[in-house]
Amino acid sequence: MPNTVEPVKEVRTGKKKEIQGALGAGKRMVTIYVMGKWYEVPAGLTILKALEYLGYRLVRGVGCRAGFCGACTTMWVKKNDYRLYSGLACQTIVEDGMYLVQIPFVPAEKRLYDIEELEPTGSVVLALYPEVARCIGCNSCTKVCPQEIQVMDAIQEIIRGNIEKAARMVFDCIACGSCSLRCPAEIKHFHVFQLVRRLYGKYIAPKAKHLERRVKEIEEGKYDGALDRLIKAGPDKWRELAEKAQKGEEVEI
Amino acid sequence: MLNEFDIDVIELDRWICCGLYHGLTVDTAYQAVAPIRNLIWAQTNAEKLSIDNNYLLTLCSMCYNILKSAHLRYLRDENIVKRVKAYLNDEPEYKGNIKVIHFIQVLDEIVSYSKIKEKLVNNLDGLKIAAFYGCTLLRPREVAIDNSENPQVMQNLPRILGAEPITYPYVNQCCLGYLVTKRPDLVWKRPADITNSAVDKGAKIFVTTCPLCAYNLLEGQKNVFGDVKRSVFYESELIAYALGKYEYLKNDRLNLSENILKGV
Repeated sequence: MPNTVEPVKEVRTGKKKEIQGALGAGKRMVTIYVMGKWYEVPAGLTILKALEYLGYRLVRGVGCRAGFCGACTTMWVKKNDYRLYSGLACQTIVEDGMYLVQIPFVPAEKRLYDIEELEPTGSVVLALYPEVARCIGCNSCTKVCPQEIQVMDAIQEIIRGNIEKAARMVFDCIACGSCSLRCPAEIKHFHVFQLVRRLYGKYIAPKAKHLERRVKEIEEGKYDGALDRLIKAGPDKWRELAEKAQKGEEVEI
Repeated sequence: MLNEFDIDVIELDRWICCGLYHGLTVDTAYQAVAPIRNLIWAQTNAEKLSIDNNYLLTLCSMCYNILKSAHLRYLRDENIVKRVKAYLNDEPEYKGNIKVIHFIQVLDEIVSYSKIKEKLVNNLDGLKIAAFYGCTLLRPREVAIDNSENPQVMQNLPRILGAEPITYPYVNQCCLGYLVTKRPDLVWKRPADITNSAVDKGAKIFVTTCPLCAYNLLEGQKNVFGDVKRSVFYESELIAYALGKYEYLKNDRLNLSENILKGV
């Protein structure tokens, strides 16, 4: 890992920047700016690894490092480009001239509701998050989404009351909040989408029959005897049973 | 309903609100972004399905107005084109050949009245109706679907169905629109005046195409009179009932239609 290797010796030869040492001799270097400060880092690193290469210890704005948790939202601009870019630091490779800022947290209020008391309709979502109706169709949200969700389309589906369609469209949302930071209507998409998925799961998605059967069996006490015997058997027996089970043998208690 | 006249209506793969939010502001370019985006998506859809007439059908008067206005401004104003393009750099270019058309225009210009008459099941024999255009089908003049001062297109169809449109001064009056969200107290008198005039002329129902007009007309009556003196029908509901196509009407609307329109 970049932040654990020995300090590397940097050699500059004219315009071509190269690096020597354990990390990657001969690798090209790129220039990045971290919150206004100029640095050179090896090309090919992700933003997250580049930050750690530079000695930053990340305690916020970092999580799974696998593009799933949505914690490492980062925004940047590039030279001679008016656009404000956004992405996940753990999934984005550094580019020369990137001017970076980490977003440790996207401020947003989650409204309180009791899912048991709601109905899966657009008006329910609008009552909790009235700002959804302020969508002006600018598509800024979709442009920055690292998950390539059609964010604006999903918001518009909610306005039309198509909860199921919206829930399906936003299944991949990782709540990084990039969209909400860009939204001129100040919609907090990830909270809205979470509500929509909950409504879908609770009221629209087909129920899992086998799960219902199993819950009923448990409630009727079908497994009580076996569980009691297992608890009484003690750690040695548990180990023996676990080893048997791992080998794929039938386990009886 | 239009399927009855062998017109294929296809829902766009993608569409967003027409762009009304900015439609009524004085700012120039940004208000065109959402409508032009819709027109671009319509263009993409038409190309994908090889539809060459490029019609974009709207049922709502306001959508018609917003989309058509944006289309015309885009064709006329290079400055708008430049600025809107800068916002819509995530979309293909709008070629400017989508024809925004309102439901009423389809019946008036594409389906012939004789064809409608052939399918008449429930003659609205002598039912007096008050057509209510509101603003968005008639103003500004460049997007108007008929003469702004003496519009006839919305009366012509009920006439074919056997109804008798009344003449009254409020036919093209503004319902006061979205002012209802801010100052309903200022709004309610207007629909009440409109209703009184329609009642004086013997109208039994209102016919409109605009959801906002329908809302203000109904709520205004409830607030001023305490009840609804004259129900509000969409032109599409009237034709569905007259043609006996009850499957196009929601149950409560069908009941209302039968109560009011039957036996006249």
